[in-house]
Amino acid sequence: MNKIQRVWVAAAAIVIAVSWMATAAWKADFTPSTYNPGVGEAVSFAVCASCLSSETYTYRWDWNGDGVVDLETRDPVATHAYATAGYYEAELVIVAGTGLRDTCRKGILVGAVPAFAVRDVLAQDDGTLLVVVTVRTVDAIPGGLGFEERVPQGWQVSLEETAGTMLSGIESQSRTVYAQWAAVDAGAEMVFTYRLSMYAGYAASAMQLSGELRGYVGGVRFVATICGATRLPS
Amino acid sequence: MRTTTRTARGVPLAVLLLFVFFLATASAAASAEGTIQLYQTVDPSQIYVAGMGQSPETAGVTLVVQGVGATGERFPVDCMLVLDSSATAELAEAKLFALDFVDRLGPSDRVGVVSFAGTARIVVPLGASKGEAKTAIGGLAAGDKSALGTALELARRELAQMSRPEATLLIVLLADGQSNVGSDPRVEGEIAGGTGIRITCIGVGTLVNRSLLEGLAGMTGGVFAPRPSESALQLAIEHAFVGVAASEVVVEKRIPAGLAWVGSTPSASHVRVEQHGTTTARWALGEVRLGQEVRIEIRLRATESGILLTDEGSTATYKDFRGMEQRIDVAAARLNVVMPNRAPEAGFDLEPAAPTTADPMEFRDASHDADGDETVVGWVWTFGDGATSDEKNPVHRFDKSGTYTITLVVIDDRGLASKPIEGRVTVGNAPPTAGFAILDAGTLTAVAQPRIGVEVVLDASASYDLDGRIVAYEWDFESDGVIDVATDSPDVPWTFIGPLDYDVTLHVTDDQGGKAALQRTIVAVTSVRANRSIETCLPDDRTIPGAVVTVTLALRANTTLNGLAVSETLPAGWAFRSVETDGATLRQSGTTMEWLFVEKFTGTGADSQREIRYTLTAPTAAPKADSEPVSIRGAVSSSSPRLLQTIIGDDRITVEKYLAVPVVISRWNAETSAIDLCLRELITFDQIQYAVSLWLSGAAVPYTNNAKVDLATLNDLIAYWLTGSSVHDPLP
Repeated sequence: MNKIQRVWVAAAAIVIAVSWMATAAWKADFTPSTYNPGVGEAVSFAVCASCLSSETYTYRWDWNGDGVVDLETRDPVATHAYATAGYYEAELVIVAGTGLRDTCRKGILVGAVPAFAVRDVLAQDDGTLLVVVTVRTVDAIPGGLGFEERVPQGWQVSLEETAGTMLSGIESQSRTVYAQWAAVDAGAEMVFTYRLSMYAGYAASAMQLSGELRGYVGGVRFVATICGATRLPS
Repeated sequence: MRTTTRTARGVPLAVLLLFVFFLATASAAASAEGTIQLYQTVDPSQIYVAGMGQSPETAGVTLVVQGVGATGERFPVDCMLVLDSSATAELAEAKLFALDFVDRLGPSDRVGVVSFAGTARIVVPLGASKGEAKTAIGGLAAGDKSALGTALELARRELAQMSRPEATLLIVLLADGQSNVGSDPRVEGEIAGGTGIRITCIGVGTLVNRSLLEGLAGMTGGVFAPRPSESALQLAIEHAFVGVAASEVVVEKRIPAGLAWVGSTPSASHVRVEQHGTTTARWALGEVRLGQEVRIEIRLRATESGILLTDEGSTATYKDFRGMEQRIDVAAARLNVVMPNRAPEAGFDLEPAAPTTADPMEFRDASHDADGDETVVGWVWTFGDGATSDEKNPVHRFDKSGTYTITLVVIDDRGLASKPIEGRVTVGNAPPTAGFAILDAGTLTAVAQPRIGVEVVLDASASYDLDGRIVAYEWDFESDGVIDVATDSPDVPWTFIGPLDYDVTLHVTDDQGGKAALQRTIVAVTSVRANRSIETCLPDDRTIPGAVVTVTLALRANTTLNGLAVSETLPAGWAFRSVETDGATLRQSGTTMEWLFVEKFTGTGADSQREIRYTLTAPTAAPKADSEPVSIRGAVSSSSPRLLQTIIGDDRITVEKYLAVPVVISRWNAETSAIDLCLRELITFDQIQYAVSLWLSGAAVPYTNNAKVDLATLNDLIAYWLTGSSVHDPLP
């Protein structure tokens, strides 16, 4: 190992250490009152209080994830109504009095859909991540319901709970988790879980999850972007 | 004619030499014996084995028996006169007779005198002169007793010691035969007879012991006369003079096996063929006088070849001039017997049986010589076209067609030639060989490929005829059986105008009507290369009603073109839409589209290439059949250089009434809920979801023959999806 490489490794170690210190103290998180509001429906966004320490924080909200802060407040609860149907990623930036900041981003699907899915990413003690995709139907889905989710590079995927799917698995080439249920009744809830483990010594290049829930109702296809957490914690 | 000496077939030389030496020795002995000689001659000395048609078949063997031993008509005489001067004999009579006898002897004769009475003594030894003998005889005095035996002994001893070998030995005894003293006269007589001495007894006196004297004469071959008369003298003299060299001559000849008896002169008294093939013949010739020659001529023929010796073991027996029995061998005669040479018989094979002037013919000797293998040593072939050969198995090619007579004469190792044998062969005309090249019209150098629209020279001078010349060239440029150009010259100018591939056939005819053809595929170089590609997004240019098909025309000029027109005739009912004209002016005329490039093309670079693209939309009406093919025809043309060329490449689209379920699923755009043929051939999860919805709903799959997604179909689709396989391929 030459000198330059050694310096680089040392620098990387410092960055990781600083980052850990920042998140170890507190982290930004929030929960919307619903992930599938109707158009114009007021959604209440509550900052996760238990995730924070006793400092004073400023909360900066970007409702559509376009990088523009739509609301800056010290109130841990904010409300927003989306005027147009569609998929939005609401972003919360919490700035501590120390100047440290943390960001949280969650998908919201506005407008009526026959079914929708919410993703939750749970860090486990063993360092793996448990991704929980909860699928809820609004209407009966006689033409089958399924989702397809892309996993960023650097993660090893294993299925934990397939929740009664007729077809589920991992397509390794495109790093896609897929799941398909046959006809599903209205008001059903399926909790599909898979685990991500980082390959040893492999730095993940992207930390974003994205997926679509798709189904056929009366021969007509609908697509619902999977809501909820979209980023993997560092 | 010559005297032969013995030799023998197969006898080693050393033995032969020894035998020759023996013959010489034997011959000398016979001469010393002195009374006959044998000469044998053979003529001819070489004959052929009998019955082979070759002459001579017989040989004459002549045996000459010759009386020899002395010159003159008789042998000389060595004579002892024994005179009895005892008391009882008449000495005077005896003297008188003795003197007369001596007088009668010739100059070559010799005489001696023995007288006996009480004793016997040699008065005159043998060899003294006749005068001494006569004087001695005249001086003899009478004695008393008679020692006759002793006197005979004296005379015999004298003859034995003193006589000449060539002389007749004779004792003339003049006595009364009384013997009372000395040895026994009978014993002496027997001894004398055994040594070739004859005793002539003449009685003298009054008391002649006739029995003794007659006995002595008889046992020695002499004569007896009781009185010394004139007749007695005559008898004694006649008896003393012997002219017979041999008596009781018997010749016995042995002819070896391999030689057969034909006959003889004089005839043999006895001819016998032994079991082992030897012939024995005998002649009794009687007497042979001095100087006499007796001939025996025999004739023989041979039954086997070789050098044969006659007379092994042949002998002649006789009594010589002294009456002694003799035996001599007959010298062998040598006869060379030759197997006659028979003429060989010529014969040959030829191949091929039906040659042409192009074929080297192989002639194979099949001659035979009855005299044995490998004896044919010479061959004389004449082929009928002036050519000859002395090889055993020649190879010859006839330059001209026709019928030829081939003659073979063979010669054996003894120089005898066979009768000529003839064979005929008809040689056909060898067809000509066609060949041609393409030459640049300007430089007249060969070009591998002619250019469309540019004149070249087709040069058939590579054609040839082995046995003549080519008189007609006929060109069929499309090999359609229609002669396009017929000429007697090998060069023809020609311009290929399209398409690219030509099967050019050259027919050539030689001066004897032989024909040949050569077909060559000529791939012309295009002046412009126009290629059409059709993209339907389904394999094999298939599509479905209402689908859009993209057609691309790639044009590339290979030479300078001054303007270029492209035309395409489209299938009826298909909607045309131009996508790219690449600078051409487009005009539609019914179902024909015309693009005109009003510009100069160069043979290379960017100016050489254009690409026209358009789409065709298939009629939405379902085709009548499950598959309905349609065609696109097009051409490019230019006026400078003048060319008209078919557009090559894809020219057919097949409209399918139905597609297979996996094909539909793989081309299903879930977002638009419509088919898109140009989607990938691989099934996505989105499409699987669509298939699941079709499976769950039981709805018919669009664009299929009312097909439903059943569990098996879904299984297949999932397998295509999971394996990432093309739906146009079998599942792995």
